Amino acid sequence: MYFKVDKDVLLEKLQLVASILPQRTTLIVLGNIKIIAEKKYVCLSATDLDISLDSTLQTDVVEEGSITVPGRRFLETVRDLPPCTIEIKVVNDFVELRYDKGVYKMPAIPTDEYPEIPQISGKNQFSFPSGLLRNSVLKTTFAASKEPGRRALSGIHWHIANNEANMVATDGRKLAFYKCLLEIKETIKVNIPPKALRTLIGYISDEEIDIDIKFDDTKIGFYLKDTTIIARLIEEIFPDYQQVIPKNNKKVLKISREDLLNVLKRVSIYADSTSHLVSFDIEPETVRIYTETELGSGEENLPCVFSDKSITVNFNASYLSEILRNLDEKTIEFYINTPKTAVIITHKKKKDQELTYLLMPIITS
Amino acid sequence: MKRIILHIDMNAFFASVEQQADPKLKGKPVIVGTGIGLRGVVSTSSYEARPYGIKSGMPLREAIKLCPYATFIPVDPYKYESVSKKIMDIFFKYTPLVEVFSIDEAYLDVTGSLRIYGSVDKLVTKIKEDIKQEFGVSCSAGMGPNKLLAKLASSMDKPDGFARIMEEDVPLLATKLLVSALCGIGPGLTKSLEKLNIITMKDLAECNEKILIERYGIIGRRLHLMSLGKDPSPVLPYFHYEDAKSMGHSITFGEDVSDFMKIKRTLLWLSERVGRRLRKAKMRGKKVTIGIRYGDFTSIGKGRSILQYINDGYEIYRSALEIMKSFIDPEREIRLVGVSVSRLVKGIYEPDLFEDFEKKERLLHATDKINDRFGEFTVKRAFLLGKVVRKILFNPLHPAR
Repeated sequence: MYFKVDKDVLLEKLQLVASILPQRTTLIVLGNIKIIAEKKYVCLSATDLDISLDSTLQTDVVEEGSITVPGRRFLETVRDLPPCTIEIKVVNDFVELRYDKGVYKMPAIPTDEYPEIPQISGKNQFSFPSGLLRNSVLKTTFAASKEPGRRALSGIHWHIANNEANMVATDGRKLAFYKCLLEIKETIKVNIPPKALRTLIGYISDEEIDIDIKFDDTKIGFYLKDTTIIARLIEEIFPDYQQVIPKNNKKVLKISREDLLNVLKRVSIYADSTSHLVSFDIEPETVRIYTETELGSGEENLPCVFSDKSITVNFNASYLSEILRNLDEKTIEFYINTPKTAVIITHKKKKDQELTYLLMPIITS
Repeated sequence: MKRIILHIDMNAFFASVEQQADPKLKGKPVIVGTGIGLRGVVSTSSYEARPYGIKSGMPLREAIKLCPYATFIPVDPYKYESVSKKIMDIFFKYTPLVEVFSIDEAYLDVTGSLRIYGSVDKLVTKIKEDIKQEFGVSCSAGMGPNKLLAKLASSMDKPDGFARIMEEDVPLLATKLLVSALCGIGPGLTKSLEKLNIITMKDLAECNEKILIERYGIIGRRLHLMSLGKDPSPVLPYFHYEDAKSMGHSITFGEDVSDFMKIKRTLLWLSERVGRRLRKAKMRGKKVTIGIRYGDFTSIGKGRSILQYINDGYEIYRSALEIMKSFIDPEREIRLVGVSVSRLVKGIYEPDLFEDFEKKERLLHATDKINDRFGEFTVKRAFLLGKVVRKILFNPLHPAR
């Protein structure tokens, strides 16, 4: 294998592919990036066995072939080179990286020791506008569970049916629910690892494109012009999220999102470091936000509009702030039923998309 | 103003309580032991047993050889705890500043009480009489300007004595006193100090404070103060105690165990007990830790944080089991297993969106009520059926139960 490539072109692809490399692995070869040079193309790929990514670039291939190289070392070497043309060549058991002022050699592992990158067969296919997809990922992934014991909740649940796409993530405390209109005939219910979606939106640029998506029973694939991401679906069944979205939350609190965020930031300095408990005394025109621990106490009043008489609800300030940061309108709305039941937090509906968060209050006794 | 601190230490407390409970045992050697059968150790022995060489921590097997005619009694933590509480109440009659140091010892700051009682001697005599009269237990008292010297003094005239150490006694005392006699210097620290040629309190006083701080950090500064007989720490009444940082239980098996079902069942039993304690204290925790000791005495512990605050024994068990499965060596026999919950919060709960927490609360409340009334594990999970519930050993570090 022998090819020549522009440093910046290679670096852009390498950065993308290296983002898939597992942080820790018992299989050394998984720390490598696979390179295939064929005709005028070089394809780079990586996998952590759950997600695989390959990306192709066009360049000058002198001799066809394939090999795997230590991924992070390869990336770091290329990243710090000045703008130049790089020659990459397999010599004996090493990959040689040469430019006009120097040469680097890395031990290589043959491609037959590298796990096969899965492919998706079958006809299940649709396309998704990149803008909506990006939005859905940005607004939901933070809510997914990071607990090792709750695999079903570790993914982003896609439920697409009747020309409507619902994307949901939850860790049991908070739930993010994004809904948009989409012209699709198929009905799809899948549970996707967040890392795959984050990698995908990290790559797609701001321009509006349609992303082709294929799926079968165990995998989902995102096909872009020169890049493919294939992820193994999470097998565990996502719980019935529709059942937990309350229908009777009639008490409405309208409040400035930015002001509330700032107050929370200050008051929570005094909150318990484990529970982050902050209380809201909500009155028709003001809300008192306060906390008291051995660290001291903090209290602030904010103007608001509340449709009911008064209620006290406790929140985990850290979860609430996360939600507020993901909403983007000036005024936001809390739909409350009781201090012990899930609260809906949302902003005004947009034309084709809707964003709703649920937050379970903290109960004190 | 100079403080006047007393340290009061019950003599052979567990054995004295047993002798008081059964008058036939008075004046006879009594050995109170923990653990099961001959695998246990001596917890306390009465003064009558001590001439035979019986010491705390000695294996029961050895104690039986040394003093075969002694009466051996298993520890009865509830009995001792109840007597201890009553004795502590006596202390509170004399001063509000009582720091319960363990089940059988306490510090009393009596600086302010002397106006009422005249002299320390009168005060100490009265306290000792009260305890003796009501519980038949004798105690040793020590007086000093701080907790360190008071504790040291109480150990000087045992049993049933009263000794005092004042600041001016320190230089002479320091030449004779080994550092290991000071409260807070354990075997590890003693060994480490030995390497610096520090054997006596005087050696410690002569060691440059900077060296001690460099080597032991904040403890170095304390060691320096201790060497001069100084201890600025106040007597902290029990109601100033911080809430528990963790709650846990452990058990040593009668025989080493390799049957995983039995280990699982024990884990559930321990978890349920931890859950009960958490609920009684109105606490919940979000970190579960388990500890295992194999038959060869190698120990391993591992903890994991969970998202939810829990106090349900079954949930503690589920987390504990998952952690245990991640590292347990199935080939080796297990001697001890323990479960604890930490990162505790009091009186708050963050329910899960997907659970009916009110129903669960009601269920736990109902089972707790039954078990409060009819005894622990009257209502239990079917998995625990047939398990013989052993007497609970008293853990002085967790007096709240």
